[in-house]
Amino acid sequence: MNTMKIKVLQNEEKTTLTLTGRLDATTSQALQDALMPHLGKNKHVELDLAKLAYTSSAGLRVLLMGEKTAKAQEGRLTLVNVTPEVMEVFEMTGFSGILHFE
Amino acid sequence: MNSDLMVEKYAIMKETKIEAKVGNLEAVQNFISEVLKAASDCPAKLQRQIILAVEEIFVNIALYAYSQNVWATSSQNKQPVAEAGIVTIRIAVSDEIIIEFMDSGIPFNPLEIDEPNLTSSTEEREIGGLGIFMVKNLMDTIKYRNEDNKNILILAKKVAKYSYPLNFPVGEVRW
Repeated sequence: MNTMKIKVLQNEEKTTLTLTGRLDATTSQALQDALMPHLGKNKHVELDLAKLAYTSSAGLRVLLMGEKTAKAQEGRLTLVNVTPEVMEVFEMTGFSGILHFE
Repeated sequence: MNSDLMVEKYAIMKETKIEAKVGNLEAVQNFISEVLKAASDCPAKLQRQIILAVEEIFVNIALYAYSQNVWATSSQNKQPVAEAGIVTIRIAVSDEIIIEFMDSGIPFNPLEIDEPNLTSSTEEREIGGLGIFMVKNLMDTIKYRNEDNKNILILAKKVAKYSYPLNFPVGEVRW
């Protein structure tokens, strides 16, 4: 039940991380480890959340860390295909106002 | 024991005792999930919200309730704190879903955590307090008390589908 898979696809334009499963206190560290090395100056990282049905505050922590890092290093972090379940959590916490959606 | 009364009020009542560690999150969520699924009147969205609230509370206990101080004190005195490291979780379902978390860790009232600022800039945004903020948002009621050196946190949420209120006060459930 509580698992998450991360698929990384890199091209010249951007790096896409596709998350499948649940982003919770037991899986958020895996996202942090996979995401952070790809962020940097003029780098674009895209998170495809089409198959992410759940996030808790542990997931929000990593997304906030990613967004702060991207912003500070003049890179970009964008989210695509956010499910209604996850969007509900972003809206409840005001994260819909600081994360970037495409 | 007032068992007749309880049967009348609660369709389901379950209890589990589990070690307070983050790795047990899945087991805890499965325990709650199974009860909610058995309560056929609990809509999927409500189940999702409750499962999220349960993570926030359980993980908070797992990370903070039993810090090294508690373990050290108990071993020094050669008198282990009763049920040190354990969380007791109870769930009752009637026209509302009531979940109780009990631990004998450091006294901690999560309701005293400062509310997060949801409109501050990205740079100033902080993660602290977001979990509890969500729980307050997701549930109808959240109550804390410290009793016999135990932290007792009770969450409650009405199941909207039911139209007949049973009118018993949250926090005075007899288990």
